[in-house]
Amino acid sequence: DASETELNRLGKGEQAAGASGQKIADSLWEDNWDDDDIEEDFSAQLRNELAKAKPTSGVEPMQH
Amino acid sequence: LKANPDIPPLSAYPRAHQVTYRYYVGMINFLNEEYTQARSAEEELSFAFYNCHTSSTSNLERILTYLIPLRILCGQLPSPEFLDRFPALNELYAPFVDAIRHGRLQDYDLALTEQETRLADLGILLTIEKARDVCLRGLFRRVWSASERSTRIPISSFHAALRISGQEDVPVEEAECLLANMIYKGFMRGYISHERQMVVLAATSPFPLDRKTPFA
Repeated sequence: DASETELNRLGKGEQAAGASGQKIADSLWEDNWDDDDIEEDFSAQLRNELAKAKPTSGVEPMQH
Repeated sequence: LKANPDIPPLSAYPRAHQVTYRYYVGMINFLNEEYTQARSAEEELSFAFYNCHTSSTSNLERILTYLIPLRILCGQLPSPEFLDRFPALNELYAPFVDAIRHGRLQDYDLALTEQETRLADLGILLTIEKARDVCLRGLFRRVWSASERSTRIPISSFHAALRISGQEDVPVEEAECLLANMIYKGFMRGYISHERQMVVLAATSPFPLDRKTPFA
């Protein structure tokens, strides 16, 4: 009885890949999850911390 | 077992037995930290997971308890909908997965402290500690984002990011060492100019995610 497995739920195309033991790209796993939202908070925090660390030299993260 | 020719191949056995067998082989490999071999823990547990009966929730949970951290080390995160199907796993892993997703190292360390005993009991503490590198990669990637994706970023920027992430006592030398490790482990592409205290990053995909094997 092979009817009720994750593979079958995911469909035939992925079944072939899974049966041969290869990595399966499916909806359960995310390969590309990097968060690309611009985080103003984080940038500001970072700048503050840099300013704190070197109050005299005024080093800023490179802006180009 | 494989050495004895009188024993039929594993594929001749019922699927349920194959799943059980491969779960245990995967577990053995996991506990021996054999992540990179051809028949790795990840491969065995993936087979067990994808061929396990969907109504055997507790078995699926057992398999996933070990498969999830291995996949994380490969740069794959379980999707939120997927984790939702397994409340116990969601409770265990969601804090780590969220921290990794957003590069929040402080949240990751907090979750590690809170769950340390439980992770140790399950035998996954070491792996979750290794997976902290994936979160560190995320933090460094945020620095890169905040630096307008420059290919040249001062080490002091990464150092500052560590300090605002609860690593107040980290000296700049250690930040440099962590960066060197990130590059060595393939989480970052680039090099460090020690004289200029600068990280020079690759112009394309300086923070690669695609991995064939979990880096042990």
